[in-house]
Amino acid sequence: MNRNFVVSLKDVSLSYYPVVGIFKKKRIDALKNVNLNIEKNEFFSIIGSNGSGKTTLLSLVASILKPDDGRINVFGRVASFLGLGIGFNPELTGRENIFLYGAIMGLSKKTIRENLEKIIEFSELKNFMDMKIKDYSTGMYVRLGFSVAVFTKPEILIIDEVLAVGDAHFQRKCLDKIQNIKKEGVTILFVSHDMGLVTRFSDRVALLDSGVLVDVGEPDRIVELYLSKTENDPSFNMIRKGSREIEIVEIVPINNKYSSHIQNEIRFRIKYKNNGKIKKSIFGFSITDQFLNVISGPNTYDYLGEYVDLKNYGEIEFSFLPINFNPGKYFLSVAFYDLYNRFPYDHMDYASYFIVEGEKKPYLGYIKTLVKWKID
Amino acid sequence: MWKNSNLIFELIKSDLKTKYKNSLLGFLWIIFEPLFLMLIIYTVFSKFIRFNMQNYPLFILSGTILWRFFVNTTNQSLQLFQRNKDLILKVKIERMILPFSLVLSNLIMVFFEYAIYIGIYFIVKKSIPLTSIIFFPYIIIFSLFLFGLSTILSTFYVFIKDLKAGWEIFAQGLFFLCPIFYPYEIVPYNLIQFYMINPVAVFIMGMQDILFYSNIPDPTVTINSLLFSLIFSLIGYVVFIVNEDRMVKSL
Repeated sequence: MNRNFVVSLKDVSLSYYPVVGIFKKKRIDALKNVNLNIEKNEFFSIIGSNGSGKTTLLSLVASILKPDDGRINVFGRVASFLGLGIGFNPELTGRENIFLYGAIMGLSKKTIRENLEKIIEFSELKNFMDMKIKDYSTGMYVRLGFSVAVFTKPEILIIDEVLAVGDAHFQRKCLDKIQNIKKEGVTILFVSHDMGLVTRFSDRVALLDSGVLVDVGEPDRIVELYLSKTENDPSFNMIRKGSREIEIVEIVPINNKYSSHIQNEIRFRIKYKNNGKIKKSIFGFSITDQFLNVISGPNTYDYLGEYVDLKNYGEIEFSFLPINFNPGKYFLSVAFYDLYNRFPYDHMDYASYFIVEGEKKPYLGYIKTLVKWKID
Repeated sequence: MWKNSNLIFELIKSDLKTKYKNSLLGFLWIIFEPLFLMLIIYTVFSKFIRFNMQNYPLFILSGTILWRFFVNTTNQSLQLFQRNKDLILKVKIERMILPFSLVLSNLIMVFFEYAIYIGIYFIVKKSIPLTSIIFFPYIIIFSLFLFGLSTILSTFYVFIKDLKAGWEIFAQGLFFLCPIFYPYEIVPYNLIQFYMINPVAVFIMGMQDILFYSNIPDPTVTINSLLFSLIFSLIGYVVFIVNEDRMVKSL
């Protein structure tokens, strides 16, 4: 076996047998013949829809579970954050729980005592240290958990969707910390539904689907593969609401490809039908990226100060230049609203899409800001 | 186990800290609980049934120390893994620590009860039984047995939830089959060999020898008890190791 691999799974399978009747058992294959090698110092992410076997895979690497079949080799000390603050005793104070949780995470009393100040400082919970944990908010709970857990000095760090709870500021801090840990040579196994995080930080990504390892490779390619699967593509889960007094009949993409060389406008035509006797309304659309971040949401009232005069059957056309948008796929939501912009007549989320062509670069954020740099 | 001593220490500390923390009387309950049990037994059997025995309250207490240790630990052991599901499924710890620290944390409570017993003994008899020092090795032998039993109960409970109700009824019956509110001499001679099948009864009799009669317990019985406890904790260990992976998946 290659020495650079710190985690290696060979033909690993694992099934659960949940009881469904009194004597009946169901078989669920959580993982089916998974082969996977993770290199030293990799930031390796695993993505997949709920129930695809991500957590099971992590539990196996953390040797919390044992496989039914196959072999797992793990070289190095593993710290697993499958949940933060596991084993916290709600009746004890924050300080007391630091010692309890530290012990659970395998820290010696000496290490905890030496790092106590740093732990408290990192958690930013100094004023809450003598308060019982049961009076903490969920975010505070996770913060304290993370602050203790990072002081375990692992060689392999397993993180399962635990950062989602904290506020944005603390989440950033955690991610910075994780990146620092990675710089020290630690291998990181990461599970998240935040595709933005996954593409930004990962070296490689694996896609799981119902226990089967679909593909492993470049983050962008795998994330795209994941999002292109029917059930994960937002446009297949289109959310439509409204009274339908005005009904959107058709969305015609006249041009839905943009590239910075040609600078051609993205152009859509919306056909509608007036079912009620509505005379005026507000029309708007919004642009969201693949991770469903809203980038912009123009509407006729905010942009023009005008309502749309409605016919029985009509068309609305709009076009724009997505200058500086990072290359990728963008979704378009369209809607007719009442005059107060409160009640939807017809609102279709992710009804269509357009593509900004170009080579993908890991620019942070939604758009590429045009910056004039002056560096001395 | 030694490697995990810090974790065991922290688990016991947090368990003991929370046990009485939210009650008004707090740690005083450690004194009240055994005394109340003794008082009830004493009232019923001494006043209602007119059972006569010298220093009867002391006799009852010497038996209930061990009985309470037994019944508290086994009852808590049933849902032990269920209660600590997260510790099992989300962090990697040596899971055997859970029953181990459960027994240990109850053992510490027993030491308190022991101190109370000695105190009362001193008040009543103006002396302290010299044999009471044997209490310590003896209770540790019993703890070994209890560790094995708790491990078995906590493991099987995950698969068979009926075990909880079943065990509680069983323990209730067992109480009457232990020489707690009557001396074992009361048991008819032809039944005594069946009576002695109950290991808890044997242990309680040894405890009464030490604490109440100031006798050194019979060496053969003690050695047998030790062997029995060792074998039982070994069985518990094996049951756990064999079922561990299946148990974790069923949680």
